[in-house]
Amino acid sequence: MSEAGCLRIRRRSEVEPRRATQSMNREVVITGIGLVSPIGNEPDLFWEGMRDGRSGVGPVTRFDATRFSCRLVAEASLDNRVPGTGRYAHEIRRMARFVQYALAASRSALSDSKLTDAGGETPRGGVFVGVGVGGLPHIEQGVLRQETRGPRKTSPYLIPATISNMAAGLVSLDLRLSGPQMTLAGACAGGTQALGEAFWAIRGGRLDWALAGGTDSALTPLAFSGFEAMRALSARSAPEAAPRPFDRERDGMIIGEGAAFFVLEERERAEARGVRVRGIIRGYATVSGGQSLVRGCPESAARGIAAAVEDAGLGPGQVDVIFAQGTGMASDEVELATIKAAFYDRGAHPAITSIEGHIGHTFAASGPLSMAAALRAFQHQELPATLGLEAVAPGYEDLDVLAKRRPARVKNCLIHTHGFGGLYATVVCSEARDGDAPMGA
Amino acid sequence: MGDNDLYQSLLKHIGEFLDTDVSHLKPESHLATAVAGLDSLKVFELMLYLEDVYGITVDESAIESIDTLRDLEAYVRSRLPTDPAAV
Repeated sequence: MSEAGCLRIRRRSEVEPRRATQSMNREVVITGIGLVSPIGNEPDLFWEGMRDGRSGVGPVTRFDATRFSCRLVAEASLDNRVPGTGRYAHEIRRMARFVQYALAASRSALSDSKLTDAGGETPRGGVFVGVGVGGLPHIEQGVLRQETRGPRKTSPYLIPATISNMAAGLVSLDLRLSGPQMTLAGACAGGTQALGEAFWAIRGGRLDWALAGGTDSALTPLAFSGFEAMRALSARSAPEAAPRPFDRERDGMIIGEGAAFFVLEERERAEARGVRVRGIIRGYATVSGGQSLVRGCPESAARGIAAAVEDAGLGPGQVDVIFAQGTGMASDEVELATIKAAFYDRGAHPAITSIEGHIGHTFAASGPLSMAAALRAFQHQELPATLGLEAVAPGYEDLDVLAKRRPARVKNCLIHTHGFGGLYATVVCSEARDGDAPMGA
Repeated sequence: MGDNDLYQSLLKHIGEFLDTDVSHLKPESHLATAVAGLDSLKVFELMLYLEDVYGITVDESAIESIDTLRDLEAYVRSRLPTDPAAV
C-alpha cells in the first residue's frame, strides 16, 4: 500500500488549484436521468433490479464465445428506441453501440428533465461524455471486412462511427445543441470525470446546464481476448456465480455495457423551470498516481476521495455510502484499501456497495450508472446489495460492504471509479432538499 | 434489363438503402437536392451498396459526374455485365 510512487494525501488546495480561480459557487442540481443497462432502460426498472438482486449476466449472444474461457457477459438492449428516429436516423444506425447508447440515454434524460427543445436553449449548456473502450467492436468489424472484401469495401462511416467524440458529437447534432461538447477518454473513470467536469463548469459559472454521463460497449471478441490476456475476466460458467465484487472468491470481471446520462443545472434555473430536483452534485475530484499501468495506488485514490469530500464541503463521517467500482478483479482489494485509508482509518464507517454484480463492468458508464442507483437510494432510503458478495476479501472483513440490501438514512453518496493509467475520479452527490418537489412527481 | 426495369430497380434499392420513400423521384431529379440529407458519405455508401446489388464496380472518378437519377441509371447500365443472365 505504501509502495514508492504512491503519494501522501494532500489537501484540496494542492490538488485542485482550479477552484481557487472560480469566482462563483452555484448549487448544481440533477433534474433528469436516462440510462441503458443490462437490467433495463428505465431508472425505476434499473432500481428494482438493484433492489431485488436481479442479474443482467448471461451467455454471450453476439458472437461465438466458445474459444474463450469467459463466455458470460451482461448485454444491454435498446428495445428499438434508437436507432431509427430523427433526422440523423441513417447515421445513427451506422454508429457503434456506445454512440447509440449515449443518444438513447441522453434523449431520456432530457425528456425526464422536460427539456423537450434543448436546441432552443441557451448555448450556455454543454455536453460532457465519458468514453472508455469506445468503438472497438466497430473497428474489429472494419478490419475483418477489409481482410475479407478488400479495402475499397470499407464503410465510409467506419471512422465517424468509431471515434470517441462521436457520442458527444451525435448527441449535440441530434438535439441541436450549440454549446461546448467535451469527451473524456478517462477509461473506466471517464464517465465520472464527465459528471464532475460538467459540475465544475456549472458551479463556477461557465455554463448554466449540461448533459453529462458515460457510455461504453466493448462486447467483441477482440476485447475478450485482450482482457483474457490480462487475466481480467471471470472463468465461471454459471451466470449467477459471476462476478463476485469484493469477495474472497472473486476471479475476474464480467464485461457489461450501457450508458447513463443526467441533466445538471444551476439550481435557480431549475427552480425557474419548475422541474423536480432528483439530487444535488456537491463535490468532485480527479487525481493520478498508480503503481503500474493497471495497478492502482490506495494512497493516491484516497487523496482523490478526500479532495472530493472536501470539495463537497463535507467531512468523511458525512458520507453514508460509497458506490465503489468493485469489478470483481484483483483491483477490488486496492479499492478496499483506498476506502479504508480515506474513511475507516479516519473514524468514518460508510457502507460500501457495487452495482457490478448486477450489470458487469460497464467501463466509462460505471460511474454514471452508479449515480443513477445513488439517486434512487436517496428516493427509497435504501442501499442496494453487492450482488455476488458472500465473504469480503481477507483483511477487510471489518469494512461495511453490503452483502444484503439495507434500509438506511441516505443523505450523501460518494461515487468512486478508477481507470488504467493510474486515474481516479470521485463525485459526491446528495439528496434533494426538503423543499424540492418529490422524486415521484 | 429494360430501361424502365433498371430505373424501377434503382428506385427500389435507393429507397431500401435510405429506408425512406423515394417514389417522388423522377429521372431528372438531382440526387443532391431531391433526397434529403444525401451528403457525401451517404453517396459513397450508396455506391458500395449498388456495387453489391448489381455486381458492378463503380469508378471513383465517375461519382462526381453523376448528377441526376438518369445519370445514375445510365452509369449503372454502362457497368452491367453484357450477359443479361449475369444480372
